[in-house]
Amino acid sequence: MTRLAHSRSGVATREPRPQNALHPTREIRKWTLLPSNARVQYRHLIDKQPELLRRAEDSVHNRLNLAGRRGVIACGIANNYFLENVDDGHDLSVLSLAQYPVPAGRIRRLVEHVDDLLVLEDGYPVVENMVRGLFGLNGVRIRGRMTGEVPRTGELNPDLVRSALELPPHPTAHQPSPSLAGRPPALCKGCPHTDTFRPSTRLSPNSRTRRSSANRLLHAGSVSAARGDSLLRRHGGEHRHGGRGRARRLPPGGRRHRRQHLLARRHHAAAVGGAAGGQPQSDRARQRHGRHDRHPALDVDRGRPRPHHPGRRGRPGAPADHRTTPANHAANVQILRDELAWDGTSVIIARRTCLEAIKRKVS
Amino acid sequence: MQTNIILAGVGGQGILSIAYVIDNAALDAGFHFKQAEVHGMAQRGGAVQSHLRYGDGPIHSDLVPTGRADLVLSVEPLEVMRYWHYLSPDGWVVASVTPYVNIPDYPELDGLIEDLAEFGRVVLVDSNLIARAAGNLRAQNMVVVGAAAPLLHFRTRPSRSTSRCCSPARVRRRSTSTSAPFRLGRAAGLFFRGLVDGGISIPDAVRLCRKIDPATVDPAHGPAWAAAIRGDRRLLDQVLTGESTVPCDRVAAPA
Repeated sequence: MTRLAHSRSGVATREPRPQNALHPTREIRKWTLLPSNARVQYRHLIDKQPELLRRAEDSVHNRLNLAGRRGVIACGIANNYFLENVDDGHDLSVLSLAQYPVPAGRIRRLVEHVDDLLVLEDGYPVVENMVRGLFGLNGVRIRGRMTGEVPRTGELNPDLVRSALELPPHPTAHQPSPSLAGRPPALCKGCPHTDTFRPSTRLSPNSRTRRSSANRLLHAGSVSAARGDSLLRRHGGEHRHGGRGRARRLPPGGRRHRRQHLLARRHHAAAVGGAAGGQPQSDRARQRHGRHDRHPALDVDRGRPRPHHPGRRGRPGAPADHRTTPANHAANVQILRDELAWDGTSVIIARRTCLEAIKRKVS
Repeated sequence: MQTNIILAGVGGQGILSIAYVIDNAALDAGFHFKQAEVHGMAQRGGAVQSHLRYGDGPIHSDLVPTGRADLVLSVEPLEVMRYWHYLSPDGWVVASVTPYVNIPDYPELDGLIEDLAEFGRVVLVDSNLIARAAGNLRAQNMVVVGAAAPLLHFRTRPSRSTSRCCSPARVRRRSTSTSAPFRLGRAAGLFFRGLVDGGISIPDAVRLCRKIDPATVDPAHGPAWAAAIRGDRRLLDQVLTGESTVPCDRVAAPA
């Protein structure tokens, strides 16, 4: 799905048809997420399955061509990689699947026709396992991710499909360069978040961090650097007002859990490099965060997590609006050192402005 | 007919903009195309690539199979080597020799150029120098597109509407253009090949191109420069040791 979402191609356009007429449902209960309503909806979903299966069996998108005794089931984008590797004159029996649920009738016809069946599908080997079942099929060898012809993990590509089809690799002009220096992503040049990572480097230089701090030049330390929303998701915390940095409830924890979180956040909602694409802050959010987000600062919230109020400081005595500029490097190190020594949960929030966004304003 | 291109560079260099320009040009020329960006294209400073395929018939795979690329187009010299196993045995490399050094173990540039020279079917341009001469330093990607244009099957010069779509708003406000970098890049690429095809070694051709005023480069002078240098090697040394750049037509009327 991600591969499809990241691909482009030309499309044929035509006159748009009129917008569908509105048919507002009177079943307002189906829009309310309650167990009693969900039970009814689930029953409805199950009742629809025979019709969905019938449509998949009859679908023009699920094409079955019976030819030789070797068969292939090519699911979704894997069909593209399959077609890339075969000529029109191939002798394989092929079922290309593009509409689900899996059309059992067509698969039965294919299985009864072949001795050897290769299942090509991206992601998990769902169709492969369905076809094989728990105990396999008599007289038909089923191959795919579970048997090693296709790697068990990782994205499918034309080369892997070619290998699974037992075709020789294409000749290449050059061999891959094994000793090539890697080039991981980095923070933008001059990004003020560098001044947050640098103290953490000093505290524990041998550990790893996630996302943009992966740059080896930076060697950031043991803190887990993630966006506010990622942090919440990671710890399963409930937050109904999803969105970058708008944490309603911090991760569960207490003195028993010794966790330190570093939230490096921007006041601009934007993609990496200040590119457009992020959700703009609502007026209310801007009002709520505005005063603090205008200045780079390091906030600390210690002890039992509480609803996030940017105006309140969790740890009494922390310097107000402590600037995490290079000039304050020693103080920054001290703050992080104190928090790492704290026997409990603490959240350090480094707020920055985005240089790319500033440049855009200036120009 | 089908052409497969690997676009390579560093996050922030405008690789997706290159893809957008070539996608649209292919579409305008009536070709089918598919283009896939590799996840993480927005990762600033990191290695990025995009697969672009066009042809006169339907294209199946979004990804270029290994050994099937006709062209690796890179805005950075090191990034060529990350992807050149995709090249078919008669494939080409079009690359900038302007390094983007943001890693500690970046190799020596001269060594990189030697490696590229061994490959042979290369077009190398100094995108920094050319884009600067064209008045739009950010458009180094379009310099490389220009250098690759003769290898493509359609007019790739970005139209005004395409340029607008792939330029950030701040660039558009400055009224900078992508057509001049494209034009100079195209001329530089053809001039470079004129030198190489005329018998000048690839490293020497790279060095010479850096000493010629990009705004004056005319591909028609390439064979004349090659013949002159082959006849008297001192001409090359004289140009390379000179402090300033020389106009491209100087070989026709040496000082």
